[in-house]
Amino acid sequence: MKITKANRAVAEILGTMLLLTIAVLALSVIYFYVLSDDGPSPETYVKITGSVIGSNVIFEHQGGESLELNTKISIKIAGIEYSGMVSNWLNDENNNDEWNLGERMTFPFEYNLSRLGQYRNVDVTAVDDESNSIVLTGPIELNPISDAGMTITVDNPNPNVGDMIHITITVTSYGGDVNGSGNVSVRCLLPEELFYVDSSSPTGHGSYNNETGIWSTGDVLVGYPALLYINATVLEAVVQDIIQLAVILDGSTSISSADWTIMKDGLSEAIKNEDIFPYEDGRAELTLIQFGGWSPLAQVEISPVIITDDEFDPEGYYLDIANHIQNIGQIGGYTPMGCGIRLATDQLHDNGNFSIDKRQIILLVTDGEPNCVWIPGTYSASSGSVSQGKTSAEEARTYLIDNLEMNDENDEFDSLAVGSGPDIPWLNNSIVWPEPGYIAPPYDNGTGWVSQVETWDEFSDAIEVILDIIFSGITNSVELIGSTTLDPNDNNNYAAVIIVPTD
Amino acid sequence: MKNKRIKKSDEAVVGIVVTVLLIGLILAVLVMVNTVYVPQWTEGNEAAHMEEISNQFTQLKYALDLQSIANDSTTMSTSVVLGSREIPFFNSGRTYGSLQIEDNNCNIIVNRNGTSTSYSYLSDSIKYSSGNSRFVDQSYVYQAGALILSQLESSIVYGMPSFFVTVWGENMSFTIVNISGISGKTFVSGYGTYPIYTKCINSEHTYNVINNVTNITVVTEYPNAWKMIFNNSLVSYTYNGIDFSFDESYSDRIIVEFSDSEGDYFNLLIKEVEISAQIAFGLVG
Repeated sequence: MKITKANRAVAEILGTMLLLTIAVLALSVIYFYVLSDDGPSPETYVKITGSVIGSNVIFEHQGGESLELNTKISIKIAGIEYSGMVSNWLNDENNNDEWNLGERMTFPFEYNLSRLGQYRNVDVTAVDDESNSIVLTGPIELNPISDAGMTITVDNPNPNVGDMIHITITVTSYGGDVNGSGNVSVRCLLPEELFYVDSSSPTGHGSYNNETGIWSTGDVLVGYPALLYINATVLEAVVQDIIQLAVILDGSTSISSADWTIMKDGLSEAIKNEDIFPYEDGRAELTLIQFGGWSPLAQVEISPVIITDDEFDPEGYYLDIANHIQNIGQIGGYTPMGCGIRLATDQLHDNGNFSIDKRQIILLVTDGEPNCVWIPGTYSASSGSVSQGKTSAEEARTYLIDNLEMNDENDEFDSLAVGSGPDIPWLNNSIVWPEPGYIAPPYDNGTGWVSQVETWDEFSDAIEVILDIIFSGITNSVELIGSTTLDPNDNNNYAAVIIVPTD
Repeated sequence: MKNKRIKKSDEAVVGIVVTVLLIGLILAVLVMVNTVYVPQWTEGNEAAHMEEISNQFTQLKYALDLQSIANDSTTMSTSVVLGSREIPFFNSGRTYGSLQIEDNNCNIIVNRNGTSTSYSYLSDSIKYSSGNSRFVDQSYVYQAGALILSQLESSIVYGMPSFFVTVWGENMSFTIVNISGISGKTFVSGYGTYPIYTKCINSEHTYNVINNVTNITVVTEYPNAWKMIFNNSLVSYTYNGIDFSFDESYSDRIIVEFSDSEGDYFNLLIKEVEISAQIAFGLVG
């Protein structure tokens, strides 16, 4: 075809139209993509924390944007997944249909004791429906709590040497998050004075290894305690190392001179009694401290001395010591208990017999409450209120425990309270050690104790029983050593019974 | 010559149309970024800034806690960034905040059994308030030893004060950090970084014992947070015979009430540490 001007114009017009079409189409596509863009992925800025309290998984809103009630949450516990909307479990305190600051979502669940090993973590994922973003994800650690407690009893606490005694150990689950305690193990290693014969569990809870002393009970359900019977023969007493006994006497004015005499006589007679006080084998070291005074102080009445039956012993012959006690004068005055405790500590610690491996027993005898404040660097005090006196005594007791490096298997701080004056709960909770103590008799718990007698007339009998327990008692204890459930209460994880053989 | 004129004219049509379309495209993109992207970037920026404030107030509490336990009058400085920076190029998204020491707006009142005498402890508070445009507005408040996060009508405790129950539930211990703002240096707003100078002015550090405490009242703008503080500290000790409950009938205070059938109640060992605080630059006055 011949190319003319007209043909050329048509072609150019067509070309222009095509170019316009291509340009418009291309830009339309770009417009479409640009304008249809939704922008960046929406995010929800919020802090949610998760924790497990008891058998509830608790999520708390800790700031940021509010969440809609249709926020989806997925909770996986022990392989089982639960999912739903937040509204199912949220406590919407202000009823505004949103999850706001401080509001909590509580998801309850139950532990299955037979599958306790699978309860390690709670895996959680929460997705905000509006922004389609994850607002919480991750594991929360599980620690199911259940309280297990134990007791130990003996059918005859005063057997003869050679007798067989029957020991009963009871492990009880008091429950908690779980309706039982999982895989409980306790240790009850018989002392050298008891010879193991046999054992059995009438409730079918595992077996006892007499060499290690460990009894693995398995699971113990609430209401179904585990029992273990141990039969053992009482042997001759093993000669023990020296026991360091410090008696701290209250010499304040509240004690009448007649009662003071009763106390001196009672203590003196107990020391002279060979069935109670082991002066024959020289394994008792005695220290005697008195506190009181209108210028409050504590003073040494008997420096640490081994009590013996050697009449040529210039310091420790038991009759001389007993006579010396009967001649101790009463100081009178205030009650600087803290000074007495500090002086006893230093006397025990600074004499040549002291060793942290030895057994240290401190016995506080008092008829009232402390009312003095210790003056640092001395064994003196200034008078004060009862509250100040208690604080001062508690500080002194801390000083004693720290300096003597007392250990709760051997050592004790006990108290004999006379009359209605002493604050028994305070002595039990804040002074005796290991704490908390218990009210004795019976002296069967293995921790520190407070024994109360109504009048000084009962002092002689009480001190004889106490010294007999201290020097002749065989402590047989049981303690919790493990369980798959977390035990929240240490108070019942240790028990002991004291056996005092008769010759 | 004629052909040349025809060609120029045709090319101009396409060029003009394409140019118009391209300008429109650029404008559309800018408008979309400004209306869709920038708000979300701003929100993210503000959320990040609030995290920064959270960290800075945690540092402030740490410093004040140290000063309250150390018998020392060394001045410590903690900085707070009041606002967030703008989004680059778009020149928008800058936010502002304010930092102030509020005068005597926290009062802790302790009442005893059998006496009408009460013990009162007043303190200032250090408060940051945000002025966010997209993210939810929050306030961080240091009050009597507690770090509190407030948002809308509610508040939570972000850092516990030194309030706890001692062994066996007989005694409670409470160290109140009493902030005293220095006149004229108690308020600042903007978006810069401002330091807070704090200095312990009471070095006695002794505990007073208040026996048989029947209730503790905290007059505060943040009763929810203080309820949380008492609840967290006391809930483990109810088994010991001393129970407690809250009186929430007032909007400006929370009252924790103790009940004990034996009439012993708790003893409160209370220590007040006075710390002066000032905002802005300059020597400590």
